[in-house]
Amino acid sequence: MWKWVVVALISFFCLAPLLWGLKVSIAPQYDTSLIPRRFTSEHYRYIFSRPEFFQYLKNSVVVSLGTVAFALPLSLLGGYALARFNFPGKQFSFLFLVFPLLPLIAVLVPLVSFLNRLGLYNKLSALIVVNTVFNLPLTVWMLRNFIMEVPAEIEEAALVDGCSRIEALLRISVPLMIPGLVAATVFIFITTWNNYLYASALITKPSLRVLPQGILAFIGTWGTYWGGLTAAGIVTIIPPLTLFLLFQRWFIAGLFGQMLK
Amino acid sequence: MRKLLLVGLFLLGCYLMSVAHAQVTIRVAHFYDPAAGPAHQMNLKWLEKVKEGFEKANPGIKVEFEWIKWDELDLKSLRDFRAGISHDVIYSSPQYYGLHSVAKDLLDLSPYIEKWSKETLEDFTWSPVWTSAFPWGIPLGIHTRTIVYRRDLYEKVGLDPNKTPENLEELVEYSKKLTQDTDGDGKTDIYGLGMYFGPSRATIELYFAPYLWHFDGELWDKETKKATFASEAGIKAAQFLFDLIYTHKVTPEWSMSGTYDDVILLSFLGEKLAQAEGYGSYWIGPLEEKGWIKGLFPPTPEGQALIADVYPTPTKYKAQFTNAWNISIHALSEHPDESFKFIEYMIQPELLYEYPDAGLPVRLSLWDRPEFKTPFYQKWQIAARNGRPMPPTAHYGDLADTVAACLQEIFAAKAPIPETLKKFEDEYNSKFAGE
Repeated sequence: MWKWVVVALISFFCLAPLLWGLKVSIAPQYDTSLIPRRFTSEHYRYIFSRPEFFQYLKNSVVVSLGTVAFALPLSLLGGYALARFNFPGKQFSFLFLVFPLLPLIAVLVPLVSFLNRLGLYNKLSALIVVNTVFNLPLTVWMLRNFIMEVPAEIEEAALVDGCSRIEALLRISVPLMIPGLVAATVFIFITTWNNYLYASALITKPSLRVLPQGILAFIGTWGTYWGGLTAAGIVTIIPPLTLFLLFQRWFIAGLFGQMLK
Repeated sequence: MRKLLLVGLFLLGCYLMSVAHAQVTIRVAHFYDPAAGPAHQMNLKWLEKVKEGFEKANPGIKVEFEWIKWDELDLKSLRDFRAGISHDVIYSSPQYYGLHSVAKDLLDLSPYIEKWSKETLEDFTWSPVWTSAFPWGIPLGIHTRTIVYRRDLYEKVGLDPNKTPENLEELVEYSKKLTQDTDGDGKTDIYGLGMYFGPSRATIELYFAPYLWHFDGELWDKETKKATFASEAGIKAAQFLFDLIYTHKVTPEWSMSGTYDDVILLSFLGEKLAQAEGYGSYWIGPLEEKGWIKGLFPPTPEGQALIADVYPTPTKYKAQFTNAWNISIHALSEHPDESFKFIEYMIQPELLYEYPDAGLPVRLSLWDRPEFKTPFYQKWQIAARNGRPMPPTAHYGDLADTVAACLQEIFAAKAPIPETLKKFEDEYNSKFAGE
């Protein structure tokens, strides 16, 4: 009984902000009551009436999918190298897990300066590069664990049958570690989709702005347009939420390095 | 061979001509997002109009917009300066000028301003926002605050809505009368005086500093570069605010939570407050939307305050915070002259008159227009004249956060006022004094 009470409390604690956001997004502006006196779709209509919102959406999709396209193969190859090969310094590979703990703000100025010199400032490709780099440590480690669960003997048999290393990886191991790849994909997509810091540092061109920048603009110098902010927030969580719900089973298994039975 | 030479010379000529006629592009960094609400759209439309007019008047100069979130503009300017990324024209906030003057990421505009006529200069220097802007920026409008009040509630409790408080004693007395338990359940339904003490810059700027200044104190000492808010004046200011909540019970306890616009704007429009202090000139529009004023947003000569009205906070002269969005030039700009040309174009009276952001004109000559002669706008003008900026410390953000945290401890935990102010002041000074 107590178990369920605790679960209900934790669920309420997690869901309350979302429910509150939903309530504000469908209540008239300046309605501060707990239950709205009337419902309105004005905030949703407002954001969908703005072509810029679709532009931000498009840019976010490009950056998130672009990052997945770059980061996933690199993570796979990195993870494979860590799982299968012996090389000097391999014992320090646990440092991959330390790298994400680095406060990103501390490296922001040199990072921006470096990307500017590369001619990537104010380009969506800059966001793809940076998100790829900062996602890699965790996803390489995630995929390393998965590859280690695939028996090396199967690959060796494929090598004996004439497969190259890459073919053995792609034809034999990859099909066996789909949950890991899905987990890594969802992880990369969600962290990139939600990232604001890199975009705020690297993008000032209005046409290249991404969703988190667009959402935060609702918090204005004259006050916050809560209706628009929450409506945009609700719309923004739909893609990652859908992705998570669709691949929930694989994602959770992937995070804990478990193969699905 | 000769043919080849001729072709080469022809191509070189074309190249040189194209270079000579090349357009200069200046980038103008602002914070207006067309997807983020009607106010943003109005301001962006104005900027686009300025751009269009400027490009027509200056065919050799092209304008490109950059977008930076409003509360990151100054930090981005500083960060990009360090990273070697240039901007040209950039919006800036006077609260960060202490930091900008140390970092030198904004251009000193004195050499340009020196060329202005006396009339132009005087049209700007009448208001305190000029002193807070120069030499790093030029103000585009005025953001000032008043106390907004309900004329109907004044009448209901037997107060004359045309006679507003003139000193702090009257302010408390009026607020007590206006505090109402309308349904008789023993709980206050309408508070007499709304204030905001949340974890935000508004707390120091609009609610603590004005009273500290009123009691002749200072937040920060220019000479010693130390925080001085724990002075006798600071104690009096904190005590006055504490008494509003706990002794007079005219200010709600929930003033410590939420956001500035929740607690002030939404609560006033939601009829939970009879008066609200720190009501910004940027919120005149919502009063018109609510039907509480008529013909005042946008201003017209016939404009009238119906249900809601305003009056300048009855603190001493120059004991109110007033600020502005300023326009500056980034120190790494490759086209400072063209950038200043754009700024000069932007601040022409006819264009500034239409600038929607601040609501109040920064050029004195614009106040002569009949739409600003209404009693409602005259009160805003008094408030605009009666202002002062925040101290020019490079650590203003830390000072503001320290004071907000200090007041939260005093109000929420009922901590002893002198000791708590001293504790926070010492904490701030141990980190930042002398810098």
